[in-house]
Amino acid sequence: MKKKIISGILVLLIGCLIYGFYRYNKPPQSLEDVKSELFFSAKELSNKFVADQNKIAKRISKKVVEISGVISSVEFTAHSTLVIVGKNIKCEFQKKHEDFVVGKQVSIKGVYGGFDELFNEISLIKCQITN
Amino acid sequence: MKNWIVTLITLLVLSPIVAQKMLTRTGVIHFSSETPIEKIEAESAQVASIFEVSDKMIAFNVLMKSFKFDKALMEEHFNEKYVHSDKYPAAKFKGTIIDDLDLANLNLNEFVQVSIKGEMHFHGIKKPIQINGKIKLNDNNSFDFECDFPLTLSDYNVEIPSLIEEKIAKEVMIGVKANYKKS
Repeated sequence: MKKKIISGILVLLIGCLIYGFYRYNKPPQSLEDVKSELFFSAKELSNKFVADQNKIAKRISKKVVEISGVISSVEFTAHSTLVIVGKNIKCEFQKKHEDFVVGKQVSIKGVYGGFDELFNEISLIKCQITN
Repeated sequence: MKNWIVTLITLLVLSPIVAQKMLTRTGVIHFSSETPIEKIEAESAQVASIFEVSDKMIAFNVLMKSFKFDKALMEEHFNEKYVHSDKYPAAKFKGTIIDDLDLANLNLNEFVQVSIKGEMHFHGIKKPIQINGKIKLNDNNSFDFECDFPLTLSDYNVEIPSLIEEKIAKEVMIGVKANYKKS
């Protein structure tokens, strides 16, 4: 009986250690399989930031936001792609999207990363294309 | 009348060269903390920066949430427990190159050392700092800028819990790389 309890506790302990190890080393979650929670056109979101930045920032914070609009600029870096959608929404993708061109109509989901005050741009990070 | 027109045309032709505002949206900032126990590093590849050539002014803005970590837990702790990115979303630097250099007329494709005196604004604290870096004028008229400097976390009220003190360096190394193009 004692042996069974001790083995039981050991299994539990090892299980906890393995889980802890897995959680500690887990890479940041991709939004590929995560559903969008809020939807805006690029124009709509840009206008909301002009109207009341704090209000809209609070609303979209920590939520998966989906925007639709036209790509106005594309830039590739070593491991990522940065596009500006509409007037001032900058979206960062963790891979090279060679198919992104200026003028392309896109729907993108991402998480709000903040408002860049140098260029007055709304930042969306961990972006995924949805169309 | 003629002189006035000539002067105006000359100014219009020269102004793009003299008043060069260069910019980038994809500057890279890498930081690393190394202790015998752990190496923690992260990188942002969407640093916004401007370089005003004639004024010798450089400014950087980086959103803390744009730093990418290998481990989700580290990213979470970084944002929520250490830099408090909801409260202080961006780190900023603005400074002036103090060297006596004609930046518009550098030798092509050759890095020159520069010292930049300015102010760092991070985690709600503003602090004057001097950074040493290097600048290169490329033959496509873009500028490359690189610098490395240490940042003492406690200078900016970033608190490390005593329990994990040995895992995080008191001084982290910041590396910056930017390629500036005409705006």
